[in-house]
Amino acid sequence: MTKVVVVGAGPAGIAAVWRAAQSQAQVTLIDPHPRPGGQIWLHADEAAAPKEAKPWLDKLDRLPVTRHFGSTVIDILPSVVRMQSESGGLEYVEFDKLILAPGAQELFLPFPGWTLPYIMGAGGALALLRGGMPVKGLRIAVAGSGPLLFAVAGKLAQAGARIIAISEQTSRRRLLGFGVGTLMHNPGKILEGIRHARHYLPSPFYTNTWIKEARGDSRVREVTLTNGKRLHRLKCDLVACGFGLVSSGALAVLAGCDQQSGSTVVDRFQQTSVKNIFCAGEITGIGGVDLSVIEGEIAGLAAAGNESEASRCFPKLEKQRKFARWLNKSFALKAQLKDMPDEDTIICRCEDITYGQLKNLADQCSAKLYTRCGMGPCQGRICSNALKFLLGWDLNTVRPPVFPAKIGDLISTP
Amino acid sequence: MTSKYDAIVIGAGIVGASCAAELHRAGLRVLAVDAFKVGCGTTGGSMGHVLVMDDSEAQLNMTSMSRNIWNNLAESHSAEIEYNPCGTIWIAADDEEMEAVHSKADNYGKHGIAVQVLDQEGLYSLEPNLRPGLLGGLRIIDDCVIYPPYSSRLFLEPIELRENCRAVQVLDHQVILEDGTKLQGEYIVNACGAAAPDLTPELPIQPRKGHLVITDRYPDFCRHQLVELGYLKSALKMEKESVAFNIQPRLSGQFLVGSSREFAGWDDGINHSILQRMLARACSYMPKLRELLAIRSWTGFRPASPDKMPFIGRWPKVKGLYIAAGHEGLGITNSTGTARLLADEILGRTPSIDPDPFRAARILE
Ligand SMILES: Cc1cc2nc3c(=O)[nH]c(=O)nc-3n(C[C@H](O)[C@H](O)[C@H](O)COP(=O)(O)OP(=O)(O)OC[C@H]3O[C@@H](n4cnc5c(N)ncnc54)[C@H](O)[C@@H]3O)c2cc1C
Ligand SMILES: Cc1cc2nc3c(=O)[nH]c(=O)nc-3n(C[C@H](O)[C@H](O)[C@H](O)COP(=O)(O)OP(=O)(O)OC[C@H]3O[C@@H](n4cnc5c(N)ncnc54)[C@H](O)[C@@H]3O)c2cc1C
Repeated sequence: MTKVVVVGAGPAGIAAVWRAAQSQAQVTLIDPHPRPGGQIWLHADEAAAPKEAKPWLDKLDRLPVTRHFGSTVIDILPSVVRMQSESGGLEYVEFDKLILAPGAQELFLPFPGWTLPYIMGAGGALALLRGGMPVKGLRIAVAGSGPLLFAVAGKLAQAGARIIAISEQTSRRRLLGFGVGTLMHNPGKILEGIRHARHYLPSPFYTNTWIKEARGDSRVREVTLTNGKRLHRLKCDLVACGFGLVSSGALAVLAGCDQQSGSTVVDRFQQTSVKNIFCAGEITGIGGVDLSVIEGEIAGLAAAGNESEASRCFPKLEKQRKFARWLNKSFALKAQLKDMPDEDTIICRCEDITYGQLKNLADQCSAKLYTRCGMGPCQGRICSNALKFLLGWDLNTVRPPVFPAKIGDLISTP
Repeated sequence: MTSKYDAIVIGAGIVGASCAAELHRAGLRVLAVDAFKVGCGTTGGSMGHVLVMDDSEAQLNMTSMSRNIWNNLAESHSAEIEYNPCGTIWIAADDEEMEAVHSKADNYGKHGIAVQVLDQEGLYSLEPNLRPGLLGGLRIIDDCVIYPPYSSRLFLEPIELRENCRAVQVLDHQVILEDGTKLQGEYIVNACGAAAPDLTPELPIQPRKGHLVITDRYPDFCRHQLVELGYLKSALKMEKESVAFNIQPRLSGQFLVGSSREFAGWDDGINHSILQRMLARACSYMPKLRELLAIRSWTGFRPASPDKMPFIGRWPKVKGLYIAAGHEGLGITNSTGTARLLADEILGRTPSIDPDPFRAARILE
């Protein structure tokens, strides 16, 4: 039996597991969370699982799959992955085929004042909300770009927060175009959006607008928005911001898979440039949950050797890819956002490196050598994405462990 | 194009940077070129421990001259080189190593190097996180740690520099670059580290790979550069593979953990089995290391020469060519002394130390 290991239990990973198991592969699934679901389907308890997720989670429950929840893959060797398991120890899982579905992470762009307490990523705000953070009565500004802003604003409003602004950097024209395009390609998405709408619609909504700066003391007190000309100064208690998603490519880069425009390159069967390694979901590009599911299905089938079945998914795939291109075009980041940080804005929080120290350097390698930017505990996971946008620097080489690991665990042997 | 320099230094690692600075200080018009960028070679991945080694008279002379230059530099540029005067403690695990502590203490003392013999109690009062049962150690008081890429940049600050500029050939008083440019120089210095044989094929320098791991911040976990005395056995023997306990406190509160040695060509991938052995060795000396988070590991290539001595000085086969390469695991330390000795020869000054054991041409004889 083909041993298929799937890394990441988001929509792509779950779909891959299902299809691979269906094709008689022996499947192992690894994810750091205590439950499956990934970005969008993750649920604190059974009852809270979103409706769309239900059939998939049920499917997964019934499959004869080895599950390692609470485990993080930290390194990939030829035919073995190393993971830090729930118990803390390091474990090795052998594979014939590996499917990487680690999803995406939020792009956070730095602006003056962003390091103040109560300024956080939009996804981070949701995670805190899920974890029980009280937001009732808080004045919250939601800023950045992409459909996620509405979802975040909606959920925060639903939990009793006062959304004082939703600030979207793209133009009203592009946004309307996106609405119309979505209606044509993917009406379901619009319904999804409308479901949250009653919660966020009363909020002041700005297009073509981004954050100029935040001020505060022991926490953020005020945020200033701008469209490049006018300023809006708003009192607030919390800022949630995100500038869209970027693929989580570290594992694929480590494994040596070719990258292009910040995502891992795959062929029609989701096979990467490295033999026996497949990628599915947002690691191959940002395109929403439906695209992730189809990619997962194709990867699962192809990894299990069922290419003929996999190729039946191609038409559905094309439709979703089209939507993804539309999405990415509509929310493409404006060049003006590159001016958000000023000289003294911290870029690398681990090492306290400012934009002024970095902006005249040639590339990421120079930044590491001469400022140590990106060499702290987070390994540049946050700043390297920002720097890619701000200065056009490519992802630095990835060194194991991809996530910090105890030395005691690194010396345990298979 | 006939831009003519007094000296052209090829390779802007710590050795080339230091040589360029020394020649510049002597009034020469100097150009430094590097195939990539300053300090991105072995220098960028090394530990930056500056230490006096006493395994031979020549090494002792070289390392102590070099360390003095570093300590003097720190008086004016401590922050720029991230100077940390933490000293070294060589750790003795058994009676044989404790004997070595005493004989080394004598030898260092004779050469005016400040040391302190630590008994068991002395060792644990300085470094409580070492495993119980060790016998003592030898503290070399004035050893220090610097950050090599910053230091290389500092050396090159006043010097004309061309990065992304690969030399492909050295002829009499001339360097030919990859793009065909010919540069004229009275003196040409091959300071290409482990890649020096690319330009001077007779040089028997081989890449000797090493691994390092850096941890998260744990202020005060250890305060000195700690090295097991067994290190000497591992570093000096030309075994195929070896590991030794070596840990270094960084000013950031992080720790570098080493060390390994192997001949594996230019493959820079992590060798997991040797990395595990290296870390297991370290944990056997400092069991609490097991609890520290490792945030990254990497490899580097020491430029190893067959007799453990660097090649410094004139290369008689090509007019105007000088070598400054092959420093194995001591190139950070010895970069400063190398520059001094090289400049002594180029400028006709009386050599600061006996240059004979380091002469590049020894390999041709
Ligand atoms: C708040 C929010 C709202 C959204 N709303 C919508 C929407 O309405 N419509 C829509 O189409 N899309 C939406 N999306 C996008 C959607 O979440 C993604 O398209 C989808 O989750 C991508 O699926 P994936 O399987 O590729 O990755 P993910 O869902 O991100 O799952 C990846 C999983 O891999 C795990 N992982 C990462 N690294 C490792 C490792 N080293 N070892 C082990 N596991 C690892 C992660 O922890 C995660 O659980 C939303 C996203 C967010 C955050
Ligand atoms: C893991 C490890 C730890 C170490 N720790 C220490 C320590 O604690 N203390 C110590 O003293 N030493 C240490 N060393 C040894 C030290 O790092 C080296 O001896 C030293 O860096 C060698 O410096 P270099 O300038 O000769 O070589 P490099 O730093 O490799 O510089 C050579 C330069 O030449 C350039 N180059 C190569 N070919 C060409 C060409 N054809 N044209 C133009 N440019 C070219 C390269 O790009 C490079 O920048 C360590 C080494 C390793 C691997």
